[in-house]
Amino acid sequence: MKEKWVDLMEDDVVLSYQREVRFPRFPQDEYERRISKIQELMVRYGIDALLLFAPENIYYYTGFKKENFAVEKRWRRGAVIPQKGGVVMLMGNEVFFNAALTSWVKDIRPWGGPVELGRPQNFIEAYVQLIKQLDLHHRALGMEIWEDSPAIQVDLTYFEYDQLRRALPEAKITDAGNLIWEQRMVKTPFEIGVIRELSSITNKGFKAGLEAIREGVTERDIIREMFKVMINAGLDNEPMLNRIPLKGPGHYHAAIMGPHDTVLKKGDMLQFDGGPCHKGYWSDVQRNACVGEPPPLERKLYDASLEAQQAAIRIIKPGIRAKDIHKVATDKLLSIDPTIDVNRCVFVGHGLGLHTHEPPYLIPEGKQADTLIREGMYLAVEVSAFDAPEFRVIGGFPEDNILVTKDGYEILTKDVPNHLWIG
Amino acid sequence: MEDTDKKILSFHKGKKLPHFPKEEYETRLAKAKELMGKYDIDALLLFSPENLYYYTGFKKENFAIEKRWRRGAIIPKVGNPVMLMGNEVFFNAIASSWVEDIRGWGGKPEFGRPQDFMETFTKIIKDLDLYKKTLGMELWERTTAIEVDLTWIEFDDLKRRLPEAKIVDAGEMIWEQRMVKTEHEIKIIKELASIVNKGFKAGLNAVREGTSEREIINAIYQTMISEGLLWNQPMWGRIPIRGPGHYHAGIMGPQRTVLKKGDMLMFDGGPCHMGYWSDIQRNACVGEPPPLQRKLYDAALEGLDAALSAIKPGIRAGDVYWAASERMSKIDKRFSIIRNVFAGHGLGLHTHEPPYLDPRGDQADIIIKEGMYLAVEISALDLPEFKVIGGFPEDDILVTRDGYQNLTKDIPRSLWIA
Repeated sequence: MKEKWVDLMEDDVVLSYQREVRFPRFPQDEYERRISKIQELMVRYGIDALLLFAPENIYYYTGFKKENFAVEKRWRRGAVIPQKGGVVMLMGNEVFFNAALTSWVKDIRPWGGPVELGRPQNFIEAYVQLIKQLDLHHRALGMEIWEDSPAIQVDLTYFEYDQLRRALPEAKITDAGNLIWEQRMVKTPFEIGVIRELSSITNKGFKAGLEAIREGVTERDIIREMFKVMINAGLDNEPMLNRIPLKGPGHYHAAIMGPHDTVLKKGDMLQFDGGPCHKGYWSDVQRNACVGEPPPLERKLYDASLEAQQAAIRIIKPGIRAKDIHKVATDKLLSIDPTIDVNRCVFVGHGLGLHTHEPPYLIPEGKQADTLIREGMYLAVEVSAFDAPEFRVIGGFPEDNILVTKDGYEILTKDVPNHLWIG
Repeated sequence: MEDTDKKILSFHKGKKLPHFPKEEYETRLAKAKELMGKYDIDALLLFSPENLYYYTGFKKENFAIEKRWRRGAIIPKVGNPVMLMGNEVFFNAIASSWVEDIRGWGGKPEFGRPQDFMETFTKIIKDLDLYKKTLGMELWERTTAIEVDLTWIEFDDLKRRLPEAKIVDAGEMIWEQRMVKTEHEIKIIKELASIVNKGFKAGLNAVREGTSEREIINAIYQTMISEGLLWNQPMWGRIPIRGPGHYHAGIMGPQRTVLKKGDMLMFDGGPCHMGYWSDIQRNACVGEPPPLQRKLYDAALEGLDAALSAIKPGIRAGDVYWAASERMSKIDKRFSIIRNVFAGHGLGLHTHEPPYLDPRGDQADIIIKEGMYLAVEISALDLPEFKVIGGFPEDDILVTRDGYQNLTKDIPRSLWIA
């Protein structure tokens, strides 16, 4: 297989000086376990090979992490994971050597770059040729189609996808979404280690955010303070991708806005939402705060939402279904106050991982609602009690991140004060 | 609009938290309509976050792309834009976008809104009498691709639902407009440049024996955040660093390797401010560099200056590349810039966007215009061994009426010795 590519003399020379997985993102045995697990799932789902283009799937299965925001065609990268045999990656000029330094995949091939380097110049053509070489062009190929699972971004345009499927008329192209999520929903011990580092950083950041609240500061001042603390605490993410929207005066009714420059005054209320990304893994935490004493309605709503959220968390253990958590939360809210509009609880949480939102979704009905909760899942549990439809006060919407353990759960964000914060 | 939504809005109407002024929105819209005339497009169907931001003022504030969050806009050549926004962002759009006709979908059935995005989106197209017309979509057939928050299967679904429409690629039209920055955009870009300059200076000052790439990047972020960077939400930044053990590999993440005398570094990238990106490169050495490193850096800097001197409205993008190439081959034939796929690229709501300063091809023929915001970057590398990191300086510039303004010249441009 390598013979086809040996005429790329210059790449070989560069690699002869530098070939060593010197900066891996995770250990080699972690890589091998992830691959053997997906190959086992491919047998079960009747898929002969996975064709991967989404940055997070490439990171998870090969160890190559996308370090920029470019999605141009000249940067294209893809991986082929056959049910039997080794993984092959096809990487654009700019990231080929990075992949060689960071990924455990042995067969990494370049494309693109100056024509003088003699590499293939068209990504889709080179990728199709690779599939043919691997004798997979008439097999069942799983792709990131997300037909009946949550979608994640795939760095391949619809137009390129269309070219690819036209060039593989004998292949049976199927959706690989369900099998990918079946694996990624349950975190490995290595991932859990990263998630614990992340939680410790997030907790420090959120505490700093709450402590920064006072009359006269702006929403943006508060968020800045949080980021400075989190960076000092070791937030390790490149590219830096973060999301901590803040809901405040003038937008109590609008989720995930801002932050804005509005100067806070007595009586204003805030909601923190989101969290940072550390080594690719996300946290997602919510807290409510008031500048000065809140009106009784705000306290009532917050306390109701917190009680319902705590009730929902308490039932978490392996073997229950995602919808059970939703039901406990909404039943509890209604038992506290039947006038609370529980329809606003579209979901009471979701999975976390390489995405801010991923399966399982804690929703009341539909296919996702039946997902079995398993040990190793990393979940965000969030329950709202709003002053709907007026939104005169911000309401209550606490959210914590938890790990599902053998017998129950562990709250990773319990160090962030969870009562209604008065600043 | 549904009853519950109306009730909520009746308490909150009139409150606006816009990302840009209304006149700016109207100017952008008028320009888009003019270009739709030129390109024979009856309506634009937009799903990519950056195009929605540019044309409607609604900025995506999270990283979710699940189907339940779908949002899209229809911009007809004649008539008013319509947006269709998922439950979670519907009220945000009303608070931040200047589009008057914003419709919600999703949430609980009890909210009384439609529950299927694509079905509703197609229905709006039919109501606007556009279903037999030429519809421009983000296909990126011949242009630079940007992310579209729509899966392939949803594209297929949309095409199936519009059998009588003529679906064409709107890429060229969109880039023709977005390549040239408006005055409002230029104001943001200048704020950004001022923040970035301070951040990169702090980064260079942090280079010393005993520190790590990771610590240097942290110093850059701390400075930029203090200087007002966090006007961007979500927070995006990209400052890869190249250092010991990965001189040959572009844009790796910062490592924890402790720097020692003789190590060399390259900074690349920049942060995002109110949606706009910067992209800068500098090289640095811990202690005196070997003569080869100095020679390569100085050659690259001379090439960069030659490329910059060529820039003014009316030249072709490719001319910038060849100006650098010609100058560098005079210094040393081996500095033919073969590893340089391009001499730079456009900047804006993306880290890389048209025009690309390519040596040949479609992009090379793009005419440089006043208001373009470009990153110009020239390399001289130690090929193929990469014993030293080589030279690869990059500056961000604005094309002015008669030439250019270098926005990042305040960051020391010579080889930095720490």
